[in-house]
Amino acid sequence: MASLKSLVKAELGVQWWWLKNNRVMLVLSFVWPYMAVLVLLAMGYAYGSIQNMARRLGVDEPVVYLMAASMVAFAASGIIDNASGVAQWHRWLGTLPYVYAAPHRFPVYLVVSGFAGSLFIATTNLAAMLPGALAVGGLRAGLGLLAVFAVMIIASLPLVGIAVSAALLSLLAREEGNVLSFLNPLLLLLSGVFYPIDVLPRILQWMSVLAPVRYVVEAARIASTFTGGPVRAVVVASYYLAVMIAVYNLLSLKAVGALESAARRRGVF
Amino acid sequence: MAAVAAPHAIEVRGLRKSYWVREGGLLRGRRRRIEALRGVSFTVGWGEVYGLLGPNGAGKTTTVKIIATLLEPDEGDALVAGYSSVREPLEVRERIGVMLSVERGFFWKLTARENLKYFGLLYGLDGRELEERIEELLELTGLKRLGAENRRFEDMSLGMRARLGLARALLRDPPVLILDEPTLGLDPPSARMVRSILRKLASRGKAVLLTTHNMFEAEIVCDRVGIISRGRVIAEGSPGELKARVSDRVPVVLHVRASPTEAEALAQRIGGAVSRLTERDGGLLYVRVLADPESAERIIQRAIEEALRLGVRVAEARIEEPTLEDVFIALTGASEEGGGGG
Repeated sequence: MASLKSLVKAELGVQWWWLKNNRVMLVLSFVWPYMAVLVLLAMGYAYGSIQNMARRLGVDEPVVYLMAASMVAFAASGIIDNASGVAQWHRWLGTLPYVYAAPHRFPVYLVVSGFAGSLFIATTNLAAMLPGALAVGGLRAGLGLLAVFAVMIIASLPLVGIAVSAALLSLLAREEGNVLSFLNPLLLLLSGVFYPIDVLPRILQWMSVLAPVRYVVEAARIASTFTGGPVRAVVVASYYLAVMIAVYNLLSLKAVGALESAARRRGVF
Repeated sequence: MAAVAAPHAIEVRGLRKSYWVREGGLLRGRRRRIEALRGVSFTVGWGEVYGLLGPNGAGKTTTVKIIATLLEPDEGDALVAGYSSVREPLEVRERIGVMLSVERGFFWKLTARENLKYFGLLYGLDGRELEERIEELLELTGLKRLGAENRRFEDMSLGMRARLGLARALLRDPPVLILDEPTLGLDPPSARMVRSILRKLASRGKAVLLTTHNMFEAEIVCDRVGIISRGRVIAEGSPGELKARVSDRVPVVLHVRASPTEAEALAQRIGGAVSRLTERDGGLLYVRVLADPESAERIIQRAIEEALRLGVRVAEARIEEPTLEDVFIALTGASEEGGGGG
């Protein structure tokens, strides 16, 4: 039986080998996060000036906040995207049966690969952003970015069960794409990454309470104020996320079993 | 991995499986039920190479997928080393090596070594053990000799891909190997290499189940063969035992210089089952007809007369010993190139 360590090694390895053998993609993965900062910055000017935007968002370091927020934008539904993406990728490549016939439970594989995939993307974003954050905001900004990174990892845990269900559902639907990709813009809308949550309609404000990514944005905001700090950001976000980890994953446990069984009956693998 | 004390390496019991397939367009499509397996049963012993022989759509791949825990049957079960592929899939996966397709199944942008490393980690190997195993398999399959170990999968020939597929199936040194058409489309040296490795593995006590519609391969590699047609195993035995079943019929072989249509017309006029029409060098076509031993000479005479009428030149006509292909045709009524879809 493959250990979790070797599964994680396999998934991180395949991500790295793939980038290593696709050099343009390797370079672009360090450019994209800054493109996202530019987009958010351009949206920020809708407030009139960068100072206005900082005031409205309640942050002291708008550029650092934007860097953290762009990391969030990339990883908003990272684990869902990655688990479904990995399942689809294996289907396109014809590797799906070999992954399924490996001696471990397929849902465990999906969790590990989804998690490793989003960890890899988040790490690449962090590696790309850290020099910029240090240059603009000094050591404090760098620590803030690291805190947001840590919260992002914790924030993906409530979505583990949903990610596995989404991956199995996309295989079951026999669609050549992630059937739940519509969740990404919805999660971004509810996250408050583009504008404060209090400008959203009341119903969306309530829904945003249930979106784990909201707490990552909150952590980014706390980490970007002089009153808050990196440690406080992690503690506050983890408090809310811990409840979600338990509730969401318990709810999806039954769905995962039923979906895998249906996929095996239908000959998806 | 040590062999298990189960009496059979693989025991397939009464497998039944049907699928719904959707046909037609987005709005006017309709669903149709296809019975892929209608009670398939057979056993594979330790140290045995068992060939599942059948035309396209006969149910070979469905059977293999059920044994490999990839698909759940509607009825029946498949035991691997005594473990049920339906109820104990993880136990089964610990004991099998699988090869399903020669052309696909690897990361295109990764090298042979990187691909093997990925699957090795996935199959529970790591560190020095994995590195040593990869080296061993690159040697065994000849990928190192061909200089393909650091070549990307997308740049590999079909033969190299098949070797890599076999290397992956052997990564964990499993006691049971399940191979779906392992030599399909391969050049003769690669196909020979695959067959020789399979024989070597069987001599070490491993069980090998392979599907094929290559009669020659089944005859020279397999200890026993099961002929599957329309979801049922219709005959089973060693190649010798199966050939004995058609000892009352002899193959009459004609080499003709003609277009495929003309050769087809000639085959129809002389009666019997056409087994194969193959383009040979210099435009010669090969027509094979099964006949009673008493009427074989008469058929040759009639073939020459009909050929003259059609303006077709017969370069050679002879009576041969029956082969596994003749058994297959006699039992299934299908030509090698024929068969259904799926």
